Amino acid sequence: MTSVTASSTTAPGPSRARRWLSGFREKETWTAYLFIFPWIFGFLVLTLGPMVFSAYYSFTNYGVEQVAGIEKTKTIGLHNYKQLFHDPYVGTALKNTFEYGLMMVPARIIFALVLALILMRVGERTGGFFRTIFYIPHITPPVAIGVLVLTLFNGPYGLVNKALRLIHVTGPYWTTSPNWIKPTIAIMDIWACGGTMVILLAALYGVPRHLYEAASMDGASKVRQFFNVTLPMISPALFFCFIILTLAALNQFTVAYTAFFNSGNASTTNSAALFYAIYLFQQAFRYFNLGFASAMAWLLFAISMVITGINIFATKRFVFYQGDAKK
Amino acid sequence: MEGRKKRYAILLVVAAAFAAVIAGTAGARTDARSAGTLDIYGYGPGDDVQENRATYAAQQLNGVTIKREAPSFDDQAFLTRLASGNVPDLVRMGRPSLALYAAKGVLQPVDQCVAGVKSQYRKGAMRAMTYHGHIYGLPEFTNQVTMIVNTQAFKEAGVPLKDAQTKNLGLLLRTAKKLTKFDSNGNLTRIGFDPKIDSGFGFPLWVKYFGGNVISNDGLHAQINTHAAVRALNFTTAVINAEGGWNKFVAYRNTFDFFGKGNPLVKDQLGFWPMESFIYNVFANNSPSQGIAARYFTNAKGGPISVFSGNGWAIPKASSNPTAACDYMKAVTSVPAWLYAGEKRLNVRKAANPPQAFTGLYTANTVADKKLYEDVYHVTGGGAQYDSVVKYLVNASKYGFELPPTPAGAQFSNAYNSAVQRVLTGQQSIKAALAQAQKEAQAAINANK
Repeated sequence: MTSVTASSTTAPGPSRARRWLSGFREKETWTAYLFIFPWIFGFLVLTLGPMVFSAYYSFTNYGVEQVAGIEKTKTIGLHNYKQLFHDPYVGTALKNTFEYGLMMVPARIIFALVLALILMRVGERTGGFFRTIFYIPHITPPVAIGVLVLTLFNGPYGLVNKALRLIHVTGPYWTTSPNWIKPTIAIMDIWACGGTMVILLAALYGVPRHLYEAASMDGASKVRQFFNVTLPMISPALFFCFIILTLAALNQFTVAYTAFFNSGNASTTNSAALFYAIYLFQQAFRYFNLGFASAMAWLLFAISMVITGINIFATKRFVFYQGDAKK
Repeated sequence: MEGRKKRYAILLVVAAAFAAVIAGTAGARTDARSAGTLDIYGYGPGDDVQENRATYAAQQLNGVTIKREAPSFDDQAFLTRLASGNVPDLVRMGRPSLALYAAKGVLQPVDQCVAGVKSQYRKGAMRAMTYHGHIYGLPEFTNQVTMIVNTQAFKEAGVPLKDAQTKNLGLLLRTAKKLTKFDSNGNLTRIGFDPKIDSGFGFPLWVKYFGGNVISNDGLHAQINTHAAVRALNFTTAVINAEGGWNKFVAYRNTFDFFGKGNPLVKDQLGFWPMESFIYNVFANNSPSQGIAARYFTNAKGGPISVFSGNGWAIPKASSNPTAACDYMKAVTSVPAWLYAGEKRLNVRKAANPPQAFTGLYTANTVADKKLYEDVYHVTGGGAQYDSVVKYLVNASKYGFELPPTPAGAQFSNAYNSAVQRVLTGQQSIKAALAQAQKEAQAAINANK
């Protein structure tokens, strides 16, 4: 036994790369790669390629003249990145985006979780019906949601304030008051929480029944069971939703753009609705500062990575993985 | 041997003649006979006027294969076409965009090609097509701003129509208040006067009213934080505040269906307001019998002011068929093209059941406008109230101004529009907002000139 161990340490097997290459002697390997080729091609051409180009352009003066081939693209070092700190709209857009994210992400998760918990308690047939109903907003095109925002939330003329009036509440000017624009978009996102709800519902179904039985036998109340059994058991799903929704918040574009920046809207220059992705789009395709817009895109990427990293680090002790998943 | 020499001589003469023809064609593009393919961007299938003008232009370029794809110009798509090398031969775009593309070297000057026809076009519109002393295209429609008056609202409020004026600001404010109506909950049910300060043309128009200009004549110096601009924002904000404040005002205005059968005239939602001329045509279609009148937007001395806007035609530098492109843009904006489209529209309107009013076509071609009014409009007219409207529209073009082209493009107008928004929403004082806008606009000009 000892000698076997000794020989395995003194004579290591083929390296990882060699093993990977030797796999190509097998027909199955080629078949497998053939199947995943469309994705790899898409990733290289439509994701990685543009990312590499955008990284390069972020250090250049790339603009209309360069796009049209009239002037050569010149590298300008960190100029675009320095410009990020001097452009006041970058700060405004980031502030708007963070504020919106802080409202939308927790609220959407809580709302989705409440809906999922309710659906867990109703019968299979009723649950199926309501699952479909709650999921429909999730598949509604964001452009349509953007248009809906103006119809539903148009101050005293919108359906929301009319409904609030029935319970003697005077609603605010959701779409015109700068203080209410971001909460309004967050509310529409919460309404479209069907996708999050389905993920959490699947996680709730995965919680072993015997854990509740054991907790119940130990005298744990329903609330205690929720906090000590349900939440830890669905924490990986909650964490996943948290990360995905945070990234979605950082990239908010379509709903806000349709509602507040389309050409027919009076508020086309409304700084309260100026999300980072919208300003990036304006810089690229309205003002044609494509090099600067590329630098903006990389700043967003860096922010997304940092926030995700912080989330992973901070939630390590709160996320419970069954089995060996955490190893 | 003699025969061979003769054959060589004939060959040389033919070659020399051919070379001369080629050289002549290159030197005098406008006289050339167009051929080949013409790829037009931003002028795809549109309304009857667009289609009839396109038909006319195609007839003039017999032998040219014309491709018309995108119905309207889109910067992003145009950039993509530039980047891919699939550059269109001819483009139609908003006039404010033209200077930016010209400044970037994307468009080619057409001074020589339009030399024979340029005098037909409105000076203001031609100025918008001119950058650094070179003409970069030809203007198409001209939308001009006049005041639209809901006569029903004036009648109902007991306000004489003569009070639909901008000469006396005190009277204007009083009239706005008289026409404004609220329901029992304090919500607006009619806006008396919409100054349109937040629209594309509103701020330059009101600054002009107070004697200023938002940009210098050469398009290189922003003049946004002037005394005139402060007064413009002061007054228009006061009007909006007198009508319930920005939040109430804009929330109510967002309920309007300007382009439908339930427009603000039909629903009596708006007293009077300055707006581009195209809306008369929309109202004539959707609510022909609803009371409407036109008035000039005047300055404090009573002199009419109007803002021009519209599209323009330009030829990209990389166009593979600039000869046909220039011939097409001249044909499609020519007097016969407009007359052809005007007559066709008139016939369609007359044949409708019930017959619809024809409010005329307002172009950047002064000769065409005159002929359209005299030869087409006068044939039948458009009904009593629209006849009166048309008289204002025909004359308003004499008093129009158009913003000089600026290399900052949309960034310039965004700077002052953002300032207006910040003031109206109470985020900034007028002076602070205009100072910021001035800085942003000038920075954009400097970066792009």
